[in-house]
Amino acid sequence: MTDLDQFQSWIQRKATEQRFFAGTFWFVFSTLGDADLRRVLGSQTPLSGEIPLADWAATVSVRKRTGSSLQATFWHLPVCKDGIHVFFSLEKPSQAIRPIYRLLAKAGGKAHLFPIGHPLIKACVRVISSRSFEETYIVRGVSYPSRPYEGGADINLRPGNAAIFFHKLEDDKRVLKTARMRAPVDERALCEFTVSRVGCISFHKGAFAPLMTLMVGRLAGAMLASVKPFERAKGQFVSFNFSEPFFADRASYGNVLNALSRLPRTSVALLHVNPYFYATVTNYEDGGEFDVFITGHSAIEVQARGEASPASFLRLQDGLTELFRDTTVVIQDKPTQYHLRDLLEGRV
Amino acid sequence: MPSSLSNDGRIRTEYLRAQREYTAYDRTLNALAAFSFVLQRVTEIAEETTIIDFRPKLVPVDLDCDSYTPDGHFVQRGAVDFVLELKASWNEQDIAQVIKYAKSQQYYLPNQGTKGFDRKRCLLLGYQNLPGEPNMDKLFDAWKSHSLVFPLVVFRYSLEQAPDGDRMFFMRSAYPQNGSCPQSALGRAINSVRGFPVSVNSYKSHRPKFHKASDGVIPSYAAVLWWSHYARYYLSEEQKIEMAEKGRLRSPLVIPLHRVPEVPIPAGVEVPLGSKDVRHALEFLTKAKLVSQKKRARAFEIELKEDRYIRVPQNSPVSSSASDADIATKILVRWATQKVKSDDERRNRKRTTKVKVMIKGRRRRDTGSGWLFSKSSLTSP
Repeated sequence: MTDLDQFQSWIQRKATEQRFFAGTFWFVFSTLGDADLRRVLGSQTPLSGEIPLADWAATVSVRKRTGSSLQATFWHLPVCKDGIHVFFSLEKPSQAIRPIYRLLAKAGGKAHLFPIGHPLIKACVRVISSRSFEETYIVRGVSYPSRPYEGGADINLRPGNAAIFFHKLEDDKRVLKTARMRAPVDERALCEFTVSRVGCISFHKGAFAPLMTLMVGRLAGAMLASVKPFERAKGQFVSFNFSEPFFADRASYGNVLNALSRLPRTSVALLHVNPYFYATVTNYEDGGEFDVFITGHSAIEVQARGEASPASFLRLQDGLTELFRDTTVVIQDKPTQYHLRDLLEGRV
Repeated sequence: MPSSLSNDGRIRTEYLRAQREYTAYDRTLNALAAFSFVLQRVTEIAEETTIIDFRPKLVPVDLDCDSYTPDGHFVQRGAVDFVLELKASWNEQDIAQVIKYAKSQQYYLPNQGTKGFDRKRCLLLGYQNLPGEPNMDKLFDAWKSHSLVFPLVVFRYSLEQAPDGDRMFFMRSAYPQNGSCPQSALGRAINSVRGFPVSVNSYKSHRPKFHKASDGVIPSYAAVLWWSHYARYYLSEEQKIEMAEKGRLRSPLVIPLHRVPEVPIPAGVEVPLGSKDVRHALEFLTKAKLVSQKKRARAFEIELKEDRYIRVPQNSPVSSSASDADIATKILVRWATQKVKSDDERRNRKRTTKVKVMIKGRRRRDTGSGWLFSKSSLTSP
């Protein structure tokens, strides 16, 4: 029996024993290798063998202003590669979120939670590819409007099957924060889990093995594919190209500003709006800083300052595509070199 | 309610004035970015250029003075020194400033040494709104009266919309006594009778390098930049984690006075805010009631009290009516509002209180601002 099999049996057993179970898998993006990540995160927790498969662990405490403290242990599971690291915790995600940020802060900007945006959440609906989208039932969905002035969060209990749920969500242009799903994994078995936009998946009950296969296979692959374009973006302009000329009318800049303002834990300063658009965006979640320009009719161009990670780019892209859908990502080549004649003839 | 209507009008007037000043300043930074692009990306100019300095310091003629800080200094092969100064519009003090720059004979090198200007020199003076002929006469008469033998070249710079994209346009003034640049590739471009444009699309990668012009920044612009770029560097480790988790703090962000001059340099910024600029920024934010001076603690504290403490610098800082506005707009609105309102308070107090009380009030006001900084704390590195 491999370590992975042992882990799957263990979590399956735990979920059966406990009435309310949440085994949470945190997806962390880091270009550091396993050993380096372990070193920078300062793993000191001895492994008791409680969690099969885990190769190291870190326990983090956060003291709240009220005097109480939050503590969570994160076990590293060596199940992914190529930049995706998976940590496992047994605390409720709401209890573990501050500790995981505290843990990742030790990496000095070299490790971030991987944002699970709309397309990736949607990719989790079919846990096994032989089952249809409609067969997955959404137990609970939390969403908020993509425009800040259109109201607050909406907690949708038992909204129906995934097809209807996502259709309505897309029609209303709402941003999905978390979705608890019950997906069929064979003729009789179900798997119940919650996908959170912040970058984690919690398993609650049912058959676990297919969910694990999804997470380390299809989902990890989709995650890597989604950051691929940003891997060579350092110092370059990244252009989000849209099929429609959204920005022909400068009044549309307001929508871009709204989309940027809507990004969580982010600040936006609009430095220039007439005639072209220039804003700066700082994401406190991962420290990413961006300069955002619109100089044409159908593209938003973004340049990162310093060491913004591909995951940080992805957060920005997620925010923009929620409002302006269907974007293609183009990394602009090094700036063109011109001649004096070009300058004098107005071609620069 | 005529008084409140007039208050609204005054707030709007103040806001628009600040906004205009802000926009004009931003345009100057665009021009610097365009210059930076031309100097580095136009092959013939780049090949000739040996020094590009957007934070130059010229050795003053009067040794007791601080060094002079024009907006740029470019040295080209063939012994040509260009000194650049950019203005929004005419000011009587421009004459004295330009003459000062022209009389300086040396500039500081990065290693603190000095070097004399080369044989050929040229002073480039750019305006968004060119001075009228009487002012140009005054400027060039002063230039002539000081027997300056190298050219002063006045040009206009403007941000324009064009069918193929927005662009910064540079055009030498046609004023008859206006000088001509020495023969070099950059000189040829500036001397061109048709001027030359640089598209925003081209120079946009250079724009984030400039947070200010070499000789300073207007307080409102500094305030916006500080709030959106620099504030995060003053967060403690705990606060950084809190911001990462929630996007707001539940403990005050306190900046002790001695830390104000320690200005971080954000990644990719070549001309960052200095300690004087940060002080101006904090004073502007104090006037906008976003920052308060804690005199006893000798510190600044971000004051926003929407939910106990602050959102640095996320969303807020103004009431929901402007919820869709960006930080820059909100800060300017807030400043204008406080300016008008605090003026009102003072006027009302004067109208209703007796002389004795007014004297007390004035005493209070005298200690209300400014004294936090001693002379020594104002010297920038």
